[in-house]
Amino acid sequence: MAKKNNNLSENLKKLSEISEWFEGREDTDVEEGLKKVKDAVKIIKESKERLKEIENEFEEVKKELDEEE
Amino acid sequence: MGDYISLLNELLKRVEVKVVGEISELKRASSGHIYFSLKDEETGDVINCVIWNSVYKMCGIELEDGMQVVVSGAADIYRVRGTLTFKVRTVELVGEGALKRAYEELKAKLLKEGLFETEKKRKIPEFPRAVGVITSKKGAAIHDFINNLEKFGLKVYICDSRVEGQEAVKDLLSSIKTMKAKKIDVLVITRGGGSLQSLLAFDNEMLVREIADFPVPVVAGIGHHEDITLSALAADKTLSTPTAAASYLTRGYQKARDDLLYFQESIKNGYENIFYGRVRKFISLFNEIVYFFRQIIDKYKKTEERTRRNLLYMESFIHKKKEEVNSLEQGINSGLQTGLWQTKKKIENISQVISANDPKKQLNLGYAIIKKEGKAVKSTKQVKLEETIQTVLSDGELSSKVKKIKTQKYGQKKQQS
Repeated sequence: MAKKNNNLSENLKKLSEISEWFEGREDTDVEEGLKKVKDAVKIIKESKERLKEIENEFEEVKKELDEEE
Repeated sequence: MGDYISLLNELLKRVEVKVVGEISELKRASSGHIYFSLKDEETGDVINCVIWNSVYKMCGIELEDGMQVVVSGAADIYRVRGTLTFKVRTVELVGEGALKRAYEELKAKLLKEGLFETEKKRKIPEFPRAVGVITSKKGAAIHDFINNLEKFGLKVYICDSRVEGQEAVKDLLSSIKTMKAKKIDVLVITRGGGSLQSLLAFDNEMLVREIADFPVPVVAGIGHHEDITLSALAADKTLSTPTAAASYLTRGYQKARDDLLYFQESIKNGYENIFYGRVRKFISLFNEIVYFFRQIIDKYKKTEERTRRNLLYMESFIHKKKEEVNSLEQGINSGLQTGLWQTKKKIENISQVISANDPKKQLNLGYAIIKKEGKAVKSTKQVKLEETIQTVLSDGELSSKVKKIKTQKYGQKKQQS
């Protein structure tokens, strides 16, 4: 679970890097750009999967009572 | 006797009450238990009270003689001495002024200890998976919290606890202990707003310390009227309502969802820029190539046109020349034939003339041809005296020497001898 969340955080970081990479790069090789887009699509898909609506699970826990006397 | 006391105690145990009185004769035993008398100011009635150490630690109040307090609990008879003792379960100060004073004193103490320092606050995880919630199942807070917690597949452990008044302290402490055993990323303690009196439990020193020392970050979603509760001050993040607390827990997911859309759009636009930039360059290059070839084609067309014209001209020229040649050929043929015919005729005429003027015929008539060295002598000037000349006759030749030359022009006579 924690790994998945870390992935989400890492995924956003990677996407941010890819997004920055594209800034002001009109002359970049199209193939290189396409590779970045493919990476981004994979990451976005994975992240969307994690962010899609999933019902929360609720569990009631009984508290520990320690009586003294 | 013993059965009677047991019966009395059984009956007394059922009578849980809250009573107000003034503390006097307060003593603290080595065990930590507190013994005091509670006196009714109006009637002067007194009852002996005991607060067990564990309860006293939870009460969060430094009890002193003369304090007006509200105690809750039940009485029983101490079998050894036969005295009635009120066993205090909770104790709280009476009056807003006293409560406020106690609040300020504890706040100052904990502040001095650095319990509320911002540097000590831990970051609430952006993407929590397991959340512990301590609240009352009976209040509106739990519904507000659940309804406002976005659906991101969170595992939520809920521990039901009283949250109202001093009685809630024990419940809250037990709940915290329970939550410590759970594998959670963040703990939320929440309830709706209330007066200083109703929020008393959240200003309990023990609870405040437990919150500050909790192994994972704590979010306090505790409403308040005037002063923020000390529990909220000790928490790593404080929000004023259960709704706000729920929303804060999923802020990372919400932001991630927004960020994803932003990055998706940004990357798409970035790639389109590169792609269309390249397309524009390609089109530009293509236009240059088209222009280049168009120029070549134009030149070729011009050359072709010129060549075509030249060919047509040449064809026309050749045709003309051919016709001229044909015409010439016809002319030549016709001329030749005419010429041949004319020549033939001339030859015939000449033959006739020649035949008519054949010297032999003349010779037959008595004429002779005089020759000198094979050439005909037509004038006396061609010969000299004593030269040999030949005289050709019709039937032969005579060779003779010139003995006399007599030159005679037409009508004249000149003699040489």
